[in-house]
Amino acid sequence: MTGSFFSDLVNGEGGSIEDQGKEIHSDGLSVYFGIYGVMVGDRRAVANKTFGAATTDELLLSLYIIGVVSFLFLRPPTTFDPSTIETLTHPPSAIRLEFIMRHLKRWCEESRRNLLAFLNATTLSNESTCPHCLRVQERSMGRNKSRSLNSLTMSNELF
Amino acid sequence: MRGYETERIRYCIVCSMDPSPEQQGIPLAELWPRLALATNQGLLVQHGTLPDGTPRYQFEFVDSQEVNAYAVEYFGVAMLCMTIPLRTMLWETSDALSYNTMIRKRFGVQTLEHQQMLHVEIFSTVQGFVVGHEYGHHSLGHHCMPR
Repeated sequence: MTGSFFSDLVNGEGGSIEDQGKEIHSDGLSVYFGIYGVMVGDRRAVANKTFGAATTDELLLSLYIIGVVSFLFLRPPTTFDPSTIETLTHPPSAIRLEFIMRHLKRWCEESRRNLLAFLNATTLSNESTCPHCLRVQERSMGRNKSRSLNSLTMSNELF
Repeated sequence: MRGYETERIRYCIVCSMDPSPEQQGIPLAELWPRLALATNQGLLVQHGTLPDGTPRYQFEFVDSQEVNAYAVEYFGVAMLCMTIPLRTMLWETSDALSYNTMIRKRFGVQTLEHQQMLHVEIFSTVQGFVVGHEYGHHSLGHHCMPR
């Protein structure tokens, strides 16, 4: 076996702010693939058959958010304090959700502006000023700048 | 779980690459390999194979005692793994959500068939998020800094 091993649900100490930045970055890529698939890709046709005439962009966005949130809150919240938060392997779920919603908002701004009102009204608060969010964001941005793959452009623009 | 081993899921087309897009329902036991197959077909189309013919990316439900998901490189193959306990937990959570009164109202669920369809839709969404996240670790080159 070669390479390292990313374990993605068991959150604990032994990580770093860089690790947390990677998790946020991977979440962002997943959001872009996932929401595109639901809204525009193969899963739209499936959803049309499931929900029939009731299928709308708003309904599909709701489905996507419900699915992602169910994953983030499968387990009890991680315990942390100011001295341990930067040693976690993953950001706390609430912070992951904060960034996921930012990615969703960005995707909507680019591809489904009609959803912004729905997204803002129902799911988004004002931009976070949480110090840890800003630290994770800073780390994600630094790594993004060093990459040149076109596929990363969408995520890069988020930060 | 409420007897799902004997229930028939009424609707389980994962994506257009699903090899058996019939809508008459399939046993639950057939759902998992179809989900994995559909995911792997998409990865194969996107990334092709190594020189020896092995797919560059491979998704698997793996047996484990742990509720977890992994991204790991295995002899050059980018493995995306979801443990069976995580799959079970997500399946049961999706089921519970599909019975939630507010969610049922939001999605217009009125019959058992509708509820099962919503259940599978929620599960497909969350499974897609997990797979996409693990895929992200590989495609973003996170393996260069082993944890």
